[in-house]
Amino acid sequence: MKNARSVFVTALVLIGVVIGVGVWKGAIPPKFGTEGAIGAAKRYSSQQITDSDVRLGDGSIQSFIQSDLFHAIATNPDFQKVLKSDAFKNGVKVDNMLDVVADSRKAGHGQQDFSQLVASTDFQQMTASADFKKAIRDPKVQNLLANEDFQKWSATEDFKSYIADAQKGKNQDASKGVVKDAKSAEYKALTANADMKEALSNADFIAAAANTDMAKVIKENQKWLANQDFMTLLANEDFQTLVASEDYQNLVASEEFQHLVANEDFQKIAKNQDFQKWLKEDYAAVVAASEDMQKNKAQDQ
Amino acid sequence: MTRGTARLLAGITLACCLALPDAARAEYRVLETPHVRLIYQHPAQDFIVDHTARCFENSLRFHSRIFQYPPHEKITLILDDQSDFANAGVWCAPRNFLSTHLAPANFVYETGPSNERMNFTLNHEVAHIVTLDMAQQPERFFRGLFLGKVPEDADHPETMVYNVLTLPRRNAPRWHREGTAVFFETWMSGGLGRAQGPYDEMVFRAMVRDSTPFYDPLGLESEASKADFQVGVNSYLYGTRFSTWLAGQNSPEKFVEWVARRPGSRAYYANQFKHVFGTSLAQSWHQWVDWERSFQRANLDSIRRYPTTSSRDLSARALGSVSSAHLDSAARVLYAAVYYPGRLAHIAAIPLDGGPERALHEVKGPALYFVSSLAWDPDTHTLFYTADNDEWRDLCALDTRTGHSTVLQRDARVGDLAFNRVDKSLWGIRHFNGISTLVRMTPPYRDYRRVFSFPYGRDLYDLDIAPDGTRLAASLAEISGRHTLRLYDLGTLSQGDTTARTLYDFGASVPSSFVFSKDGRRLFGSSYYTGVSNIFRYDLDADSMDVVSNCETGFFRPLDLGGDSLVVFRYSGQGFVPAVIQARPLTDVSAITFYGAQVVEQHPELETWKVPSPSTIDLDSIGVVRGPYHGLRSVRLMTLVPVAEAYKDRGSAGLAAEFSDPLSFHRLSLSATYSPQSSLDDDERFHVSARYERPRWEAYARFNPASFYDFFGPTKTSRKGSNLGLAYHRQLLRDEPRTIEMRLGLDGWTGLERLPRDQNVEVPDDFDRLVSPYLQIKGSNVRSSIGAVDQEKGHRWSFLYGNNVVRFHHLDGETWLGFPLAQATLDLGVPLPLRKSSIWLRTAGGYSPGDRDEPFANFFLGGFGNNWVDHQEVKRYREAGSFPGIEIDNAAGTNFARAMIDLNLPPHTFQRLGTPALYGSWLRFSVFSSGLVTNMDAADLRRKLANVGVQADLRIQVFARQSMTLSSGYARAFERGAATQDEWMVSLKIL
Repeated sequence: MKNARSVFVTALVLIGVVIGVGVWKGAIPPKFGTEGAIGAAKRYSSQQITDSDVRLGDGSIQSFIQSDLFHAIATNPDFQKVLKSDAFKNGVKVDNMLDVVADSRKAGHGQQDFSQLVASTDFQQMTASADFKKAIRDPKVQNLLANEDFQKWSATEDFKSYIADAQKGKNQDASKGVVKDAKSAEYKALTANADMKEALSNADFIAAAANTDMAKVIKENQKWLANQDFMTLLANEDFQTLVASEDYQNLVASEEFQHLVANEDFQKIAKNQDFQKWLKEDYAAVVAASEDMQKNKAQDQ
Repeated sequence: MTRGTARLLAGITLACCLALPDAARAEYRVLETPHVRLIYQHPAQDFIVDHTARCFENSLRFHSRIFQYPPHEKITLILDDQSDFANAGVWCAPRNFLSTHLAPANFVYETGPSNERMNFTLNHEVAHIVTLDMAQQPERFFRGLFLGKVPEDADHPETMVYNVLTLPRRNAPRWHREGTAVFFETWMSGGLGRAQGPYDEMVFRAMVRDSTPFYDPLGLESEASKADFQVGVNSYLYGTRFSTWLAGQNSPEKFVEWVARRPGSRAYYANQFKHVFGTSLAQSWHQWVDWERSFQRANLDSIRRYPTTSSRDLSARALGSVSSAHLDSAARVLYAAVYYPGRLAHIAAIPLDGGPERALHEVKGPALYFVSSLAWDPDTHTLFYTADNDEWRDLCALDTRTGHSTVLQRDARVGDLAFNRVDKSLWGIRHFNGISTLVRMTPPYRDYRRVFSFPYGRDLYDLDIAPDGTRLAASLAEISGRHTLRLYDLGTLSQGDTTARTLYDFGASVPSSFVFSKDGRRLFGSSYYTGVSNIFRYDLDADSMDVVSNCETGFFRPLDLGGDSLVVFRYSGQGFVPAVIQARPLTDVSAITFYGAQVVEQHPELETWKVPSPSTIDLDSIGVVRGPYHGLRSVRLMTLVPVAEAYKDRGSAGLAAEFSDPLSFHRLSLSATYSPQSSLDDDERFHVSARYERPRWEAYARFNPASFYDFFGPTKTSRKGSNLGLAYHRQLLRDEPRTIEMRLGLDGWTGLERLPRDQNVEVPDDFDRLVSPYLQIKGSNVRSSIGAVDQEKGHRWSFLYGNNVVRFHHLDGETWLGFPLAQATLDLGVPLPLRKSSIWLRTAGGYSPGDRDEPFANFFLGGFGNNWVDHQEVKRYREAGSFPGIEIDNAAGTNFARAMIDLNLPPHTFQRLGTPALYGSWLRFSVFSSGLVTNMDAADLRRKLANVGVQADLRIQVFARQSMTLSSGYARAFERGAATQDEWMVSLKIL
């Protein structure tokens, strides 16, 4: 019995040693080619580079570049036309426009929101109107729209009846081609300036005001209309075409666009002079320059 | 023409040049450390610049330590976004230059395992620069003598010799250079790289399984790059394998000793091999092949321990590279894009019931391995596919019933397409400025909307949408090289919520092409989890993964046929073969052994090759300078070399200098030689040439220009006289292979004896001055199959309008006369059923209203045009001014028309013709016949000629790097009423 127990203990010890050696040598548990097993191939791999090893620079420009807005700017012919137009290149100061955006942001989402303005149906209808397109080319009409007195007056019933009468020709002296006076004090204050009076007589302006909800657009976007850069853009035919395009309307109605325009980082990027320069250049020039550079080289690898 | 008119014309030409917009205005910025000049586009690439610089410094530190390489010049590194996938290249003459694409890596077939792209790419590319640039004597002496490393210059072919003298390690075969760089990239990345690549293992395992002969070093360079579907990638495959074996059998240090150019080393790579290993490269190669066979037999035995999965091929031939496939159940065909030698890449309809594949439409710009990205709308029979797959991808739609293809979006940069049959939306991944963005498109698919942009380093690929339109399956790669299979809810994803269910973590293995089963309850895909690419099935209900194949080579791109049947693509040595397998879960599948894993076990010092984190590099402590890149200010003298030229059959000797900035935005080439022979007048002994080039502009001034090539043969380009010129050139269309180029220029000569382009035509005695404004527009859309040596299909055209405005000097004064000329060419070609053969119709015509007796108003044709030693187009007989069989410039007229039939026979590629240092690569024959009429409007002066000829071209490689073409031709010309004439031509094109 004692002998049997010794044999049993010895056997246990031997088995233990075998198992221990097996584990130590890596043979237990079996890893490769065993029955009932899918063998994973053994490849040497040490600790790999991780996210924290890749320290990237400021990602705000990258965020904008990846946006649908940038895509539209870079590829949509209507956007391209606006960007390449002399009016945009030479006449528009993006910074000033962005200040208005920033001001409106500080005031909370309200009447001056750029994204709401460009996405509004009234604005799109107004800019699509042939009469408005003609009228806005006149610098005097531009000044009129920017004028504080006019903006106030345009919200009154007097303005409405003035436009209605003018449209019907009641207050128009056809023989002299001038528009008769309205009665309100705002009108009188306004027309103390001859240019303003002349602008108010502009037949295209009157038609546009009569056929679109210009008064509403003015009421909701006084600061924008007071911005000279925006006005330059508004008078630009390419911009008018862009605003009328379906692609543009879809884009400005998108959440991403609304979010982007309201984003502080975007404000910073858009004000960046280098970025503006890059944006205003033909995007293809970047590629063309690279290709020119590569052309003369005979690659070794 | 009066003097005033001529000046006005010249003025208008110049004004036109200046009025054209200069599009190359993109702003480059530079970040400089003592070792690198990193140039990038600001502000778009600002985000990655510092990381790239850190990766570069990290890699350079490693290589400098391993090779004892002290950098003696700044390496210029330029970031670009010219392609949709990561890639890079280096040049070492005259400067060390490295160009790298910013785009995400391509994970197709796991041909290139990698971690974060900049870290990985720079580990590879800096290895190239260091191993090429290292110098001992005598190259140090020659670099000092020539003031730098001399690049080859076709105008001065002596530079070929100077290049060998200053950069001897460049004269090594590609397999050597790539094998070296891959070996380093793998171990510098802690084992992630092709030295442990499962695709590489598969290639050699399949060769052993199928008893395919291995290429020897000579055949690898001469034949494999032309005849094999993987073309140049064979250099990576063989080079990596041989390098790994060499390091494994000897030691990593011995391997480094071979590839390094340390004191006492041999300049030529093969000599250094013998010096280090005591045996010849050829002998070692044979030993490696024997070893490889035995290694792969063991792996095959391991696979065969359990029953392997049989397959039924759907195609009698392998289809080379293949895209994902889509099933048209109604037509019982598979659609896939295929790309194999002898055919242009195309979308093929592959019958499920047997029969040959049918080409539906050519794929413009196919990529090796994945060819194109495909998605299928069965309801409208529309196959969406991508074109320009190696550049900025276009999105196209093919109607499979009519074969009509439409480009939906040019340069969309979107691929990895997936179609949602429920709402008809098309999804894809855009690669732009280094970022992967999931995008969604709706009919008519003319634009896309962004869904989500992934952070840098996270790249989504291989998308598929469930049949019920609710879920999207995709693979996700991370910075670490880890890959996971993920499942997204399309509803929440559309709202920008990228929360996903991680189905399986494959670690460093790529989960490839996972697609939904017909019932949407399972996903089928492939992975090298066992080392072999097998098919895996993921049960979405049970949340379990099963392997359903045990393959000897590799199965890829599964597609559910219903029941247990799957279509797969089986790897073979000739490419991928569509096949059907029965997919049932297996419990027993053996893994194979990766040789790289054995090597690191035998040589644990390789573990120490892993580079530290790039974030440990402190750029500020190294010293960084940032600012705009000023090309003109950066111009430096790069080389100054002695040159020889010929002028009127007399030799001349002198010097040539090259100036340029690091980006070659400004290049100035100067040469001056002197002919000492007294037989030349004093005013003809000096020969000066100056050429300034910047993007789109070129200006030159020459005085008695001479040429090296005038030493040899009948064609002479040296001229007496002074020449000034200015040219503006730009690409009006660049949509490879479709291109249209314009060149507008002004060329002026004085003191000419012979016409500038017609060597055998003397100018009139009263000639004084020539001013030639010209406009040339050239268009081309020619394609060829993979491995082709010539274009096989397409068209090419050109139009040239010029005006030779000449001042004649008479006793009674001066007269300006203008001789306008217009010339046009059109070539049309189609492939023939014989592989790599084609037939072309080549036409040319010209018209000048000028005086027929006036040389400046005539066109001159004749001869092959090749010189005995040459640097221009080999097939010169195709050009408008050639007419083999008659003397150069023999046929003249103020108008002409020429038509040629040009039959290009299949080339023969040589596996073994010569030695690795000098061998023949391929031989091709062309047979042509043409007809020519001149002076069509004057019966008495009209000439009608015909000819028939043949030309053979033998491509020769010298020192592996330098391609030369030895051409020989014969033509016989016939003319009514005149004796037949014939012409022999022998020419060696050296650059």
